[in-house]
Amino acid sequence: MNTTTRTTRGGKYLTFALGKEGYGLEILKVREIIGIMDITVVPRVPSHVKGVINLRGQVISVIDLRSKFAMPEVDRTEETCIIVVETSCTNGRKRSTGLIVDKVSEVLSITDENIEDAPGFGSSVDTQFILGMGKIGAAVKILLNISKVLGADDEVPAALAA
Amino acid sequence: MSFTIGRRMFVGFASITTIALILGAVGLYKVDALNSLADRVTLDSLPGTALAGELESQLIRNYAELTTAGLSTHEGELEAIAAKLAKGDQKLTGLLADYEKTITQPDDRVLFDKLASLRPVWTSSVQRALESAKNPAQGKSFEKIFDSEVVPAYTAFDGQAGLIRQWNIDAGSEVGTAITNAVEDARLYLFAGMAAALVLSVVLTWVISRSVNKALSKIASQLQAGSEQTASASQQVSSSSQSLAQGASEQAASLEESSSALEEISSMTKKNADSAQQAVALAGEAQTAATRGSEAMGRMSSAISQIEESANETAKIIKVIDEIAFQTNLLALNAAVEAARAGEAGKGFAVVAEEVRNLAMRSAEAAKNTSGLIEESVNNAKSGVSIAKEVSVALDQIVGGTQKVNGLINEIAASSREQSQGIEQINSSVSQMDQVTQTNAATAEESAAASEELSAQAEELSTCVRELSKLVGGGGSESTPAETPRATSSPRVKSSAASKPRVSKPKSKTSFSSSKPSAKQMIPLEAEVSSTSSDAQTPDGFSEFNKAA
Repeated sequence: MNTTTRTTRGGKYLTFALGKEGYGLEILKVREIIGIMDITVVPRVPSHVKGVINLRGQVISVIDLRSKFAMPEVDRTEETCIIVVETSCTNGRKRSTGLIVDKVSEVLSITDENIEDAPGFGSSVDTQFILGMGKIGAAVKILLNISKVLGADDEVPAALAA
Repeated sequence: MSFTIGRRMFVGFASITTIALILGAVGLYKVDALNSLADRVTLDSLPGTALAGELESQLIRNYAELTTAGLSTHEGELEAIAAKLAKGDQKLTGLLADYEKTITQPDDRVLFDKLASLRPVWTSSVQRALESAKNPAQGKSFEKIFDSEVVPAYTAFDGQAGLIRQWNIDAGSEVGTAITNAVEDARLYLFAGMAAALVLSVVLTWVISRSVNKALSKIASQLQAGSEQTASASQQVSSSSQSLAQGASEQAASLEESSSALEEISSMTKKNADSAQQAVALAGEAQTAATRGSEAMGRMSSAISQIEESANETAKIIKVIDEIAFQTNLLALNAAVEAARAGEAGKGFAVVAEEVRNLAMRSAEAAKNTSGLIEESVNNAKSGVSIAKEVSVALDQIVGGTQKVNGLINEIAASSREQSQGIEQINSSVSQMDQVTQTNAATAEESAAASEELSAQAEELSTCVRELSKLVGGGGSESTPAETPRATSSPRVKSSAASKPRVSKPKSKTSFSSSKPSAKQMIPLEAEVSSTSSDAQTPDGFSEFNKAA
């Protein structure tokens, strides 16, 4: 799967912002974008898991991407949004997760030439969660491999997912 | 030293007079003594001697007559002798009586008593001798009686008379000696007295004249100095009265100027009062205008508040629009996501979604811009409200200020009226001062004339001092009297010049005419004084001057 994605990395990306940096998500992984809403806090979960929300009858977990990336949390603003992504689990089922981001920017088409691999930061740094670096003009967008970002530890128990 | 000259002279003359009186008394006493001694000579000794001698000669004549009786032979002759004897006896009696009158001394009395006792013996012996001569037959004879009775009686009587005569001669010579002694004494006393009087008079004259001269010369020098000082003082008085007159004329001119200036001030004050009245009206208008402005500001403030409110409302609406844009943006993004999922079929939809998103972005942008503008206008409205409040406060202050200004201007108007009255009073004071100045000028004239008199007096005094100095005998201050007339003559010319300003003055105001007569009275007096004082330079002129003064 990685190889296929690597070969055809060009396509549409939903870009969003965390702080000053811009990030990109494969648009086919995105289910929908919603404004911030009340989050039901769930006990005994990691700190970056903010809780669950009811999305049109489906309960999905919500992760603060800032906490996940070990960035300092900020207050919610009017622009704060939740991006609901769909990832495929090991058992073949699809799973929806809400990502809290500072701001949703736009949908961009990035050609394969404008996407480079993530540079090496040393052996100790795992760069698997980065799909590549998208160049848009002078700016660089970090294209995320969201399945790697949401590791197995982020798995919501199956009972909740059902 | 407190003896007056009169007392000193009295003492001097009194001492000399005392000595003269003593001398006279001594002389009188001595003359009296000499007189009594001379009386003894003239009334006692000389007539006593003469009478005693006459007595003796009469006795001798009687005795000789009696002897002739013894030689006579006839009766008639005897009778004649007897008659002669009786006559002689009578003479003897008269002589004895005369002598008795001259007796003054007790020794003389004793001698005379003895003589008187011897006299009857003599008379009786003579009678008896005559009887015997008449009747030679009876009794003893004439010769016997003559020898036995007449001769001893005669001898005794004659002896006694001789004794008396001798006594009188002795007494006379004795008195003469006494007179000589007394005369010597008197001469001595008189010489001594004269010498004492001479010495005393010389000493007293020297002492008194010296002390009096000393005092008088001192006084004369003081008087000289006084007269010089008086002369210079009179000169000073003359010059100061001249400057006083000049000052008075200048003062009169200044007062005229002051009077005109006061008139100007008075008109200015009236103008001020009118201006104050106008200013009161203007201040009232300004006050009403300020009040209106304040009210308008209040209205404006409320209007601005309404603007602020509506801006706030607009801001809310803009916020809603912004939210809608956001939601639209989200919807567009979702649509884009759905379109991407749809793949090739969703390509057109993706374009639409993109356009919708652009519109949402534009509306969000516009909402943001509008929000900024609204915010700005809200802020402007807020500052406008505060400015309006400040303006309102300022206008209120203006209202208060104009009210105060109104009051002040009213006060100014009242003050101007009072000032006008005060200026009138000052005007009357100035006219009074004018009169006073006139009087001062006249007084300066009088003092000039008085200084003339004073200088003349000083001259007179100087002459008196010269006379006094002559009397005293000191001629030390002869040069100074020559200076004083020169000193007194100069102010007279000045004082006549000082009278000029007043002659030209009376043209200034009619009110001065009341003081003119007194000034005119002064002019002839001054002329009189100047004429007399010019005469007074000759010494005889002083008496005329004194009559004139």
